Amino acid sequence: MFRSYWEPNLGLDNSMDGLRAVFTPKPGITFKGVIGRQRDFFTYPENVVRGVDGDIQINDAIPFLSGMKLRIGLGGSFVSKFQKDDKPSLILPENVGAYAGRINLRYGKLAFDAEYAYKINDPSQANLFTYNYGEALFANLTYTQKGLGIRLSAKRVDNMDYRSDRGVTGTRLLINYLPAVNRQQTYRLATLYPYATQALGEMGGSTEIYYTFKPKSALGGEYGTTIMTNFAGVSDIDRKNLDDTLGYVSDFTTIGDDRFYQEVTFEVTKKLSKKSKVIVSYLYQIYDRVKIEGKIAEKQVTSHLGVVEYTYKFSSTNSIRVDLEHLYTEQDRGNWAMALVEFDMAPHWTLTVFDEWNYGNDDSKKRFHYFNGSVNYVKGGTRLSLSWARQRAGLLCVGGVCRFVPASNGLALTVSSRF
Amino acid sequence: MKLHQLALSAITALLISGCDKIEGPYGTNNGGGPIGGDTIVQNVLLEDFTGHTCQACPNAHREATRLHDIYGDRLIILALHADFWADPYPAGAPYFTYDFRNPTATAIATDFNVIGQPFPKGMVHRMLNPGTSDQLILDWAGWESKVDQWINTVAKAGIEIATSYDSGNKNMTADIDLKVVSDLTDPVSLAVYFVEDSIVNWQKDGSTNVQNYIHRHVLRGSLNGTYGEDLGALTAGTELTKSYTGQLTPADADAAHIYIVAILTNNVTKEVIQVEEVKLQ
Repeated sequence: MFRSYWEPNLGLDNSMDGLRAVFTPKPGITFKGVIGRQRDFFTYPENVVRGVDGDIQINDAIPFLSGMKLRIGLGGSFVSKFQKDDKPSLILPENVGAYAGRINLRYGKLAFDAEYAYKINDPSQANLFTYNYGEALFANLTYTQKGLGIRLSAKRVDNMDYRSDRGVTGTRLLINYLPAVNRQQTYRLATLYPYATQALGEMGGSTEIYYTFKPKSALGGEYGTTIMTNFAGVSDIDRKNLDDTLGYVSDFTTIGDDRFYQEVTFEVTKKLSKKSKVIVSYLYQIYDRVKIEGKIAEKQVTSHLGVVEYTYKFSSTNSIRVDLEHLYTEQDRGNWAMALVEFDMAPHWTLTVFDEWNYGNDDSKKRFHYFNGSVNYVKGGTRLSLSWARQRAGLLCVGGVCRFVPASNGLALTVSSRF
Repeated sequence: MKLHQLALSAITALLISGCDKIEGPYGTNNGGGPIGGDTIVQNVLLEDFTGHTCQACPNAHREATRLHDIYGDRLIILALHADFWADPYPAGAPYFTYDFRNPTATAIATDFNVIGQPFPKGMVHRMLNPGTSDQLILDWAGWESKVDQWINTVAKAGIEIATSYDSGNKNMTADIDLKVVSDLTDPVSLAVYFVEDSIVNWQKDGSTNVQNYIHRHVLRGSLNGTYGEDLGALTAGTELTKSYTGQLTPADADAAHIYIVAILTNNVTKEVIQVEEVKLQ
C-alpha cells in the first residue's frame, strides 16, 4: 500500500519528508506509522500522506505456538492522502484512504502468501476522474526442496493508480507499489521489452519451475545441471463500460480480451568444470507496445531471444564472463545482436565492454552499434564507476518501475558511498 | 508514553478521518455563467498543447470541452499542435498525413518550454508558476482550478472585435477596440490570432486511430506576429482602436469555421490580461 522510493538511476524520487515511527511491543508484533509529504523531484507538494501498518508473526507472538510446524503471519495496513478539492465543478474526496490485509503461511516445503488491497473512490487524471473504487489481489504459492522449486503467482489489479496528487501521471508521486508477476529480466536484450504493471487494470499469472539434475547422473553430468522454465501472461481486466462517472464495471474473475504481455523462458545452467560454467537461455515474448509504452506502433511485438553466457574462473578472485545474445523480431526495430565481455578482479575491479547492434533495423541508416565500456572500483562502502556509453532509447526499469529514456551518448562518472 | 508510541498514536488519530467516500452527486453547478450587461468581464485563455499522434491528448481535449461547457464563452481555448506529436506522417501513409503545425503554435510551444515535455500540457492564461519567472505548465487535471481562479478576478481591460472577410483574396481584417479600466504599469502587447474550429481528420485516441476526429480550436496563425504589437504601458481610461489584416492560411482552411482571438498580455510576466474571441463571419 505504501512505498517510499528513491532510485537515482531511474530518475525516481518520492521519498518522504516527515515522521516514521516503529514500535515493537513484544517479539513478533510490529507497528509502524508514517506521516509526511512526498518529494516530487525538487519540490514537496502540500498534500499529506499518512499510514499505519501492523504485523504479527503468530508463532513468535504466542509462546505456546512457537513450536508449531505451520508458521503464520498476518498483517494489515491503512494509508490515506489528503489533497484539497481544487476542481470547482466536481465533489472530490479530499481524504483518499486505502487499506490492505495480508497473510503468509509456511508449512514445511510449502509457502503461501497473499495480499488484498482496497482503495476508495479516487478520481484522478490517471483514471480520467472516474469514481470507481480500486482493488488489487496478489498471491504466491511456492514449493521448494533440494533440487526442485515451483512457484505459482496470480495477480489482479483494478484502478489502483494511487498518488499523493491527483493531477500527475507517469512515475510521479506514486504512493503504492504493484509488483509484477513476470521475471525481472537481466540480460540486455531481454530488457528491450520489459513489462511494467498497468495500475489501471490487469490480470495475470506466472509459473516458474527449477529442477537440478544431480551430479554424476545421465543429465547432470560431472557437476549437475539446473533447468528452469517460466511462463507469465498478463491481460486487461474485464470491463463493461458505463456512461457515467464510474466509467465501467468489472467482473473480478473474468480476464479481458486485450493481452498486454506474455513470456516463456527456458534456461539451462551447466557447470562444465571446477572453473567454468555455461548458461543457455531462450526467451519468447509478446509485448503490447501501445499499452505499455504509449507508442504509436504495431500493437504487439513478438520476439525470440537466445542467450549463451560463459564464465571462467582463472583463480578464486579473477574471472571472465562472456555473454552472447541474439534477438529476432519482425516488428519494432527488427533484429539485435549483442556481445559482452566482463573481467572481474575481486574484490576491487570490474571491467566491462559490450556492444548492442541493431543490425536488423528496416531503416539501414539506423543500424546503430551501441557501445558501452565501463570500469568499476569498489573499496569498502565506496563505489567508483567510469563509463562511456551510447544508450539506446527505451524503457529503463529498476525494481519493477519503468521510465522511458531517450537515446543518448556520453561519459558518466558515478561515485557512491555508504557510511 | 514513549516517543514512538506517541507518534504512532498521533498518526493513527489523523487516519481516523482518512476516507472521504463520495456516494454522489459527484458534480456541482459551480463555474459561473457569463455575466450580462455592459460590465467588462474577465475571460480566460486556455492553451492546449497537443498533437494528432498523441494518444493521451484527446483526454485533454475532452477536459477543455467540459470546461467550456461550464464556463461558456468566457473560456477561450486554443489547441496548439506542436512538437513531434504533431509531425505528419509521409504522404501516402494511411493516416496522420495532415500537417496541423504552424510557426505561431511552434514558437509559443518553444518559447514557453513546452517542447520536449510529455503531451498533453496546457497553460491557463499564461500564468506564472508561483515564485518563478516561468509560465506554469499544467497537466489537464490542473486546468479547472486555474481557470476558476482567473475567471473570478476583476478585469483590467476589455476587448471588442469586429471582423470582415474577403473571400476573393482570403483577407481577414480584425478591428480591435481596447478599453483599459485599471492602470497597466508594465508594457503590454496585443496579439491577434485566427483559429479554425472542427477540422475533421485523424487523431490517435488511446490505442485507437480515429479517422473522423473533430479537432477543435486549432490555432492556425497570427495577424500580427506571435506576440503581437507592443502598446507600452497604458493608464486606466485609455481607449485604443487597432486594425490588423492577414490572409487566411493554410489553403484548405474553411473561413466558415474561423474565429479571431485577440489577446492582451503583460510583456514582463507574459501573463494574459484579457482575451476575446469572435467568429470571422
